[in-house]
Amino acid sequence: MSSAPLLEVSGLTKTFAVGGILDKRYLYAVDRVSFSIPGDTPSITTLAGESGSGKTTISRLILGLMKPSAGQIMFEGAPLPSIMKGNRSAYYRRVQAVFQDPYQVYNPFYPVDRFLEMPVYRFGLAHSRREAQQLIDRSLEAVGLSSERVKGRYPHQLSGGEAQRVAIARALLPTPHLLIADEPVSMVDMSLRAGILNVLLRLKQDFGMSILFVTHDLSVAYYLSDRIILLNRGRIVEMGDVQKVVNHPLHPYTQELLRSIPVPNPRHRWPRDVRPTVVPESFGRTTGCIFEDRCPYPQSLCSQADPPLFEAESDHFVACYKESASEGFTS
Amino acid sequence: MMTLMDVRGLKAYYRTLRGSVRAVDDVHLAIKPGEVFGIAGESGCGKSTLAKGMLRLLKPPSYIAGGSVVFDGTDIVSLGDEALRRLRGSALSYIPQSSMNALNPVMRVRDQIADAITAHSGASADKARQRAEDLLTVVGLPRRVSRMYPHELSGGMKQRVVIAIAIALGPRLVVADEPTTALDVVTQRGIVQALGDIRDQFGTAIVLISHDLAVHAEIVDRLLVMYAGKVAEVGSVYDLFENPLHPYSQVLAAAIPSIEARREIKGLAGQPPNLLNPPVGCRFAPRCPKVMPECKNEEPQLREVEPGRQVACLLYGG
Repeated sequence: MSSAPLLEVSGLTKTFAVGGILDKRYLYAVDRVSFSIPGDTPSITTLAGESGSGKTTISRLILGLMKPSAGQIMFEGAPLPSIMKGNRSAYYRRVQAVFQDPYQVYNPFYPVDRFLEMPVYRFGLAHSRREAQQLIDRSLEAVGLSSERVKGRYPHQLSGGEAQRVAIARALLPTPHLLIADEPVSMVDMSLRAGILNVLLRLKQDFGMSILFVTHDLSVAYYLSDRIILLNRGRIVEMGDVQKVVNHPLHPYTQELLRSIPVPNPRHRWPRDVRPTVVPESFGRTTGCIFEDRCPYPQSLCSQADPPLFEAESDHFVACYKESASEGFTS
Repeated sequence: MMTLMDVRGLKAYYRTLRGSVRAVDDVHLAIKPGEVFGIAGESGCGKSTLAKGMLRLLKPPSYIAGGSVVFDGTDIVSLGDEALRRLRGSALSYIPQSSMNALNPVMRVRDQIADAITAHSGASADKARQRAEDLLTVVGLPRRVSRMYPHELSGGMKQRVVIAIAIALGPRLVVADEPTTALDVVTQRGIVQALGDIRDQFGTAIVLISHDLAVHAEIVDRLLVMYAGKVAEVGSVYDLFENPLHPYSQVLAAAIPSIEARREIKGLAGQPPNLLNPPVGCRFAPRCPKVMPECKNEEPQLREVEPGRQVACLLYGG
């Protein structure tokens, strides 16, 4: 395909210094992460992982809210630092974000109208007040809200679900090419969560928007996404088509994770004989596979060198030596 | 059927300047010995207030405004303070929300567990420490953890220590309020299964409070669904997931995504009512997909529709 990827991340690394003068160490929050989001068809890509896996750091790096320690982010064929040096606001017309806490993005002293009008004026999206209001109304409609229900209200008068929808409506105003949604439903109640997830699906289907969805909840990821990128301690463990990754997980870490997800079906409970192991959290960069201490199929190579991503089948990558036939492994 | 704890018409309110918030309003439930009983509902529905009310742990501005909680023949609501303290020491136990962050940072794990034992049983310090080590193995931790300090432990390990403290005195009922929230899924599974083991091993009844229906599906025997301070439905976990009766339970069942199968999920509009001034009639009526005209006037009562199954909805004669 001739078109450049919408987003291409290569070797992305972000370290944080921890400790004092005497015992300064580096925490690898993101460790040589590479992936891309295609530019020709709209898709939903999920960054999934448990707390501390680096998923939010990656989304903040893409948003330009922090600078990478190494590696590169290309957006629509141009490197991010040069985009940022040129025209920052042009970038934020193309990339918008919604975050976890729907109330934190509002100024509680103003009605939500102001929150919705700000991007219209900042980006110069409308030529008249009337046009601005029409644009806002259309955007609210796209997230399933009526403007009468929302306009003139203060943030505290909205439910968590409504507040999050209004935040999405605002992100839609500049018609971005990429929406970054960082845990947008984890603080929203169950009965309202489904509505928001369905709004995101509609944005892809009806408006052709690509979404980078960040979550710790693999059930939600499975419902929503086309592709999934599974992270652990800053590294990609497994990546690819969501059906392939969820239904045929290859990495032992993914397998353990999927076995541990609670399923809303009391007739399919966790097997009682197999128990997850209690492992203390480790710290800092480790050489070799992140799962080596827990892996049921350890090989000598696993502790010596980081396993790279192998393509096990089309659009299904895994960082595990047992999937690399060329290394002569049998599992 | 024998009942370990019988909650009748419990009302737990919060006093505010604008009047009482009716967070738990006329709740009935019965817990059997040795069962895992789940309480589900969304944020603000009164789950935690109910848990505290059941153990008479409410602190001002919240208070018990009515009803009774009969545990093994004794009404906890009217019990004297000393008798209540003794009951809490011997038979009732509570794991508060985020209690794993409440461990004493400058005390070894075994001493914190032993503390609970000596405070209530008069066992010697040595004996209590010995027992503390045994308890750690019960909750799936190695013995060496007993000499560690909380900062050396992961979140899941700390939560296991808290469970060890909760079962240190051999309670007959443990109320666990969101014990797995903020834990990773693998850790969550370990904690939930540890609670199940305690029930299997000692016959301890467990009340599990969680907003996560999938967690309930993994472990509970019976499930109660709360909405806006009221019981919507109680029944076996199979009934609630396979044939929910209350329209709110039906909404919840249709709203959870599952990793087992990709099916369309549906949500609901609106939000729960303000409990300072709840609407007359059914509290779910303004959002209910099956609302009838009479729902706005008549308040449904919790009725037994089949043995072991209660629903508060006018559709079922409530």
